[in-house]
Amino acid sequence: MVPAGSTIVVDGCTLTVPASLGLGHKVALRPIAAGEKILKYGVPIGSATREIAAGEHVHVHNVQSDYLPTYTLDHGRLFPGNRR
Amino acid sequence: MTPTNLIRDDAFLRADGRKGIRNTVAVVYLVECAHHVAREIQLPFRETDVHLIGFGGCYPNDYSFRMLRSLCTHPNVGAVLLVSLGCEGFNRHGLLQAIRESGRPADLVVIQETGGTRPAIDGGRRWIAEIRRDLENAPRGPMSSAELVVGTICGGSDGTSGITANPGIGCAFDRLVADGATCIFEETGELIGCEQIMASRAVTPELGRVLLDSVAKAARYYTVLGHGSFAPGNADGGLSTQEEKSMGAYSKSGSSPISGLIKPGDVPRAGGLYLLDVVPDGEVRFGFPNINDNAEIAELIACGAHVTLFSTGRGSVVGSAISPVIKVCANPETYRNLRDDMDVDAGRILEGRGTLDEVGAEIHRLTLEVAAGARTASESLGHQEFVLGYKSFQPIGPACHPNYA
Repeated sequence: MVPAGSTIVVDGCTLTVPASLGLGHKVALRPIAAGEKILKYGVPIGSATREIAAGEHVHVHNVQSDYLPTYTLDHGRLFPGNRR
Repeated sequence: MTPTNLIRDDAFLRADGRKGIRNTVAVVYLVECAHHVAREIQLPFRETDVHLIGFGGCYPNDYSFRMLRSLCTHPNVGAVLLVSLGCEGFNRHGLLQAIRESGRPADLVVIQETGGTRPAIDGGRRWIAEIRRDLENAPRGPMSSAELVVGTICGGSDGTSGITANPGIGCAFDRLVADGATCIFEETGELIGCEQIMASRAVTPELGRVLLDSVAKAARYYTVLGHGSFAPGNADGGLSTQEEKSMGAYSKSGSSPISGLIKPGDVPRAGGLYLLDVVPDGEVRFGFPNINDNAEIAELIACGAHVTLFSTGRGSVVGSAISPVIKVCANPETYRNLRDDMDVDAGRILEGRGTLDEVGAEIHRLTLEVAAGARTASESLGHQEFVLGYKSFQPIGPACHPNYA
């Protein structure tokens, strides 16, 4: 868990993380424009649904699959959508 | 020549030439209406390698027949008791005959012809007690790594799965393939997004096209259903999209060339790495293709898997009937929480307590130990989950197994 407001260094990039992050979650290494591909493992894992700042949490609230919708339990409906 | 190693000198030698790492009796209900009687027959023996499997449907289905035939003649199975109500559509005589032709002792209890629940249970229990005594004298002999079949699956994945346990299993798969073993990975729906890189590993361009088609079929199927292979816990654990989950799942396959594509019940004839296509052929019917992880584990076992390597981040606790399941825990927090359910702490990579190579070597070593008779965590805890539903498949074509020629 990374607490909100922490500064982390990844691959030489210094990032300030605005919200706390659980193990296994992702942050943006650099600013990402709406519609841009999100790269992880060096390959696209979806597209940004809005602008994402460096250090911001990258997840179902700002990324969507280029293949199939992501379904989560808390709202009982399909994402992308607003969340928490 | 592929090098092979002796795994054990006391494997269970079946009359059909296959070799088992367990000596299990299967009690098999052929419709839900016979489930209770079958469970009662198994109950007193459930800690002595007598496992309960079965099919709940009343209407016949080629896939479920093929699955039960493959499972009842699996090398880990020494004898089979079929339990039928009597009026269901399952071809009980065909199954009984196929099991007997494999050289395994088998019997059939038909509840409606036996006088009802109590005599069916009593008769079944007597048969099991007798057959277990016979099985103690089953022929034993040497088994090499080239005769071992290992499956892999991930369940309850999270953001750690794709960086610890899954690549760890991939390392173990590379070692097992080098040992001459047969390794099977699966869930074409969990390969959506990585089909191109996967196809580039096929041993022939024709097989590459078959692999691409299998993933396209899964994407179509899941699009019609409106739901991919993505559970809410995946998102809570940091995974955002199907393709992110796919990339993590794909890493279980390691880096060996892909030798073929198989469907449930196909047993590869030579060692190497195979993709199991678990999504039905033809138009979408019968609902979700894989209602949970155990549906896929049962299919891996039907393809001959002696052992299944199960990667979990959120913390699945399941095992399986017929073949042991090794639990590789991706997330160090989950490992501390569910320690007794786990066999391997792969999440230690994230805490600097080990490297990917070390975890891969540990999974490889543990696979061979379990094949030699060591019990897994889920086996010791009595997990024997099993589920089987309706599906439909077309047989595989020649492009699916180029090395057989």
